[in-house]
Amino acid sequence: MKQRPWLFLLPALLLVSISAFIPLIAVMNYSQLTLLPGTQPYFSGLENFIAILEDEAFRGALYRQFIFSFLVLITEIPLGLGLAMCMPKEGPGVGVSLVLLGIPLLIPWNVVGIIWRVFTRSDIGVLPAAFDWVGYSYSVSSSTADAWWTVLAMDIWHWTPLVVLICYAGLQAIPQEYYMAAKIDRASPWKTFRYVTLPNLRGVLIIAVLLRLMDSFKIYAEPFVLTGGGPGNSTTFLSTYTSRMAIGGFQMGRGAATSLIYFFIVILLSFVIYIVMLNLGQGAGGDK
Amino acid sequence: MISLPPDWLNWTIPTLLFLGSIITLLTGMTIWDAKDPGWSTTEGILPIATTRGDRLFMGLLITGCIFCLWLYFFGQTAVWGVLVLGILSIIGTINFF
Repeated sequence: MKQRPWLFLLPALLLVSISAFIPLIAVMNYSQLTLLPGTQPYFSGLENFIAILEDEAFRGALYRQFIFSFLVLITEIPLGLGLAMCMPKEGPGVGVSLVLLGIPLLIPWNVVGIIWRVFTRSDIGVLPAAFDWVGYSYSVSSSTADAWWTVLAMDIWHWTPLVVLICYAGLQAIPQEYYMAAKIDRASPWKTFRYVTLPNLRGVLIIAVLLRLMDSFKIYAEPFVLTGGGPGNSTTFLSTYTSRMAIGGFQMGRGAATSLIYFFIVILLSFVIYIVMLNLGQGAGGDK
Repeated sequence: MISLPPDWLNWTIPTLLFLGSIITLLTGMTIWDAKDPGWSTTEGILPIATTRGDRLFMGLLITGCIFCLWLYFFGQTAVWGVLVLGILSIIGTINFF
């Protein structure tokens, strides 16, 4: 019976349609309405979208989001890959490394924010004390640069282990015969990495990049707890902007329009990166 | 707004039209694929191999971009122009990308 796989998939499809499609349809409807507390919703067409696209604060949040996601990707992916390559391949060190790497991943987002909030407090925090010792006045609440690199460092600390684990699993799956063949050909370490390791890791690297891209676009709780989006709006990213608009500003219609634009940007970027990475290096020692 | 259950969804005509278009497109692509399978990848303008479904998805993404850019630069002026551009971009993407 050819249709049997579809029957097995049906419960999952129904669950996805309830949990994903219906809220998405609701957001699509709300994005065309003016929804203010205590009033009847009325149809306002494209006004919400135009207002959002023309909003200086939205463009600022989008610009910061692009920079943040770019910095996250160019830091976490090479660092994660490098750490995975340095990890022990066998013996008791494997278990110890995996457990140590798993610890940051087990901590909820808001708790990570609280931990780093304590680190950065001017009265009891370790970071201001350490910087004070070298003569630098560190403050996440008044310095944009300090707030930025602290949010970035927090994200790197929290999520690089995920990249390490994904890359480590990918590295373990590469047959040792490839490395033996490279050794027989007297390939240098760089050429072995470039023509053996990287092409064989393409699949896992695509997953790691896409996961980190989408997650970095969703960053909310950590900067919200650490900096509250400040100083000023300097660490206000798209999710913070959207929640302020919808919940803080009571403008559900505009919040819904922002969510749709936000959703579209994430899909567009993910698709472009997926296609580029899938085709990167094809024919230059890469595998299909 | 139109009155369709459940009330809290606040159905609007543009949403119904949009969902209807997507469902029609997907149904049409499924029938097209059943009659003339398009799983084999081809290379068009872009230096990448794509299936017919990939190109449809790219067409929809390009239409979304055109829509956002139009709203940003022209507002609601002749907004139906976006629909024409969107249809042209989907047809162009499926055939030439």
